[in-house]
Amino acid sequence: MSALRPPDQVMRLARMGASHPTRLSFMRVLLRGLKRGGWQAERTEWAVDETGVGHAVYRVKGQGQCYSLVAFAHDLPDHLRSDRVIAEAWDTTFALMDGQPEAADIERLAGNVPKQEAGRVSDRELVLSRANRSGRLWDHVVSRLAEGRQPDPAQIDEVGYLMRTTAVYGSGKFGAADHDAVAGRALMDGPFRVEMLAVWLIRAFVADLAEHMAAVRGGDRAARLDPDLRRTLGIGNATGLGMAPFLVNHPDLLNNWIAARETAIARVRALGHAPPEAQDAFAAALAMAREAVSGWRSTDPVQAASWDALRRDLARLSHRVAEGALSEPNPWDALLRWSEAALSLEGQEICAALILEPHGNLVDDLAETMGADELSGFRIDGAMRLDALGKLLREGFSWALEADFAQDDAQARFWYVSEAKLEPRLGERYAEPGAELEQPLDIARAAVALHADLDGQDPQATVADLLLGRPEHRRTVRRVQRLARAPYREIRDNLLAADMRPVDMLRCKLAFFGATNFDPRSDRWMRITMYRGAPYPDELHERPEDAWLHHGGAATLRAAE
Amino acid sequence: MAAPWRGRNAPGGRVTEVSRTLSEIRATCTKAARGAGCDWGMAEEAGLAARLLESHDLPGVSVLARLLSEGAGCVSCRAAGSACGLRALAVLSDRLPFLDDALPDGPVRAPLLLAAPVILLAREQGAAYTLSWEGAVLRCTQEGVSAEGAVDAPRAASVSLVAAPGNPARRRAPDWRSRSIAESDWDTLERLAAKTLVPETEASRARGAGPADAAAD
Repeated sequence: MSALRPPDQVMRLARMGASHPTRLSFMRVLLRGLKRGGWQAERTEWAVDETGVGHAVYRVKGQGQCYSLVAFAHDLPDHLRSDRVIAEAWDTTFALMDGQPEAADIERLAGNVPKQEAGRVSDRELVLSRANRSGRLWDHVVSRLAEGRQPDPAQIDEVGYLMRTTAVYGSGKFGAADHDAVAGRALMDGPFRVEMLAVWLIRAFVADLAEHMAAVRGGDRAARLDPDLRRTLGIGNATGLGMAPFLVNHPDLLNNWIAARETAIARVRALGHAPPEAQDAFAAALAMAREAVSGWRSTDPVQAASWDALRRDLARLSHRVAEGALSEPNPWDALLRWSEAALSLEGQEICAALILEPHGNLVDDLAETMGADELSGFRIDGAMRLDALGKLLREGFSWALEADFAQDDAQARFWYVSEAKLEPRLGERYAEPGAELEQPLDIARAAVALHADLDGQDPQATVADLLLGRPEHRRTVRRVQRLARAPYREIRDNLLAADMRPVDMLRCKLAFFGATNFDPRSDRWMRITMYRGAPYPDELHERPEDAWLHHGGAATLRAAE
Repeated sequence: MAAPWRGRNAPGGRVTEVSRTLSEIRATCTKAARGAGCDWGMAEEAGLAARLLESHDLPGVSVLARLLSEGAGCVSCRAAGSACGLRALAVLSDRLPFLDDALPDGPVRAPLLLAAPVILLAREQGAAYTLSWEGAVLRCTQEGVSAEGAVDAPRAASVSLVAAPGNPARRRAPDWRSRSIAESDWDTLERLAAKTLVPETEASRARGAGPADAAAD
């Protein structure tokens, strides 16, 4: 295997903010597993009335397990529709349940799930979520179907989904089962697997609901969605700052996600040659990506420029491959080396993602290494001598020690949790009150403080001795010691800096989920699409496995005709 | 010999209870410790300890809530007449697996908290330890914990920790399910956790955190 890309390269925010989904992204791992494991999905209950209000149940069974999405549809006046996490009403609300609901469960959930954060679910539930219509596309699709016509693929491309989720809560939130509940379960014991299962079923419910409303309106005349067109409908998501601290607060998960992806890339780079079928598979994945990227837009000027650069990059990459780059020795390594010299960060990262596509047999096993035991290694090694700690600090946090916190720009921001919304926020340190209640995302600044305090300490003294007198370094000492064993744990940028873009953190996490069509709406929130091009539950076993990394929408449909 | 610790749901209790998940327990206890004045690293210890103890059906939440409400939490650590259980936890955790000088000489408040690093160590090493004080014994092994006596004591005159191979008779393996917490303890923790929150201002409201209202599209 060739060397892994070093953390100083991979863990910079700018590059993390250019992340793309891969074979190891959680949605793709889930759908591969559902198909290979012979899972069966069906709609077991439909109790939605003519006004679009009611509930439905979708059940999936396989590998000795059973889960049910209990979906509630509501009548939401337009003026209450809000994507903000602080909204109090939604078009649809959901719970994913372990097992099958009885009538009493539906009643219990009906009293709580529509209230979301203000309600309470039980530890038989694994996920709590909600979604709002994309007003524009919803009306178009329902009215076209009601008239017996299909929706316009170009209009679907403009939005990409009928509804977008505004939160998907799992892992013990609001009473739902702790993540340990799925420990040891085939397929579901991995990061965000049950959350991604819920989202996949939500997408199915949303398409069914649109067809239902069209049938109510159009009667016998109404059409159902053409299956190919239906597949171009993903499920949207709007995500804000609330997600950003996750990667800092779960560094072992971050490490394991990045390490799995980097190991996969290194395995492919180590291949001495590319057989024709691998070349063909890469060319197909690249063509799909070009079609998809041709439609990516953003109102954020920074991202819009990045998409333009990516379109140029993909044209150059295609040209390079057409010239025979993959027929050379060590073709994948050579291609990535070329990309690092010739392409933007977006281009480099999508190239690294695409070279994994032909190599499922070589890399897919790494999906099972992406969970983390966050207890092991929590204890600080108090016996470590301070000279050893200092060495680890200088080696692992050199990126942090470069920052000059005497400059205002270096700590222009502070992260806090707002009293009114109980949500993470980013404040301007020199313009807003509350910096004394800062959340611990000041990793770089804390590393600098530890470094300064190690000066003048007895190098033979131990970490335990240091922490006895200086307990404020406890958090940083833990991070420094752990980094030595897990090199991708830390985002190697100052998260307080004036020019830091929080959307870069969201982008990285969402790419690991498997999202596409990243559309930042500011430097602190973005919209994305999930499962675009993916099979629906009723066609999982008829569709080719895992052939939906990127979907070009109308362009792809035209090409297939 | 002391009677086995019967768990928080022992008959006869009349406290109002709420159900909380382990991740809610960890999150709220971490914030509460911070709100009580602990450094973040110490607050992380508090949150993990409460979660770990509760997963073994030990009263981590009530013990921590009482400790944090006794004074100003970590701020008062250095001044108190008896050692703060949280600070003692940190010192013990940092000294393990060596037992010398790992425990305070005199009295300790909230001694149950000391079991948390011992449980972690037993898990890491596959070893077994006995933590005890007058009227309470905890045996911590890789498989789980057995507890006897007043493990929720507010204070122990002195605490001892010894390596003790062999499996305990009635061990509690960790359990991920939601558990009942006394509402008064939870209120205490939430009141402290609220001290970490920043009141909203016009500027912060305008700047926003996430998706704007988007009814139009």
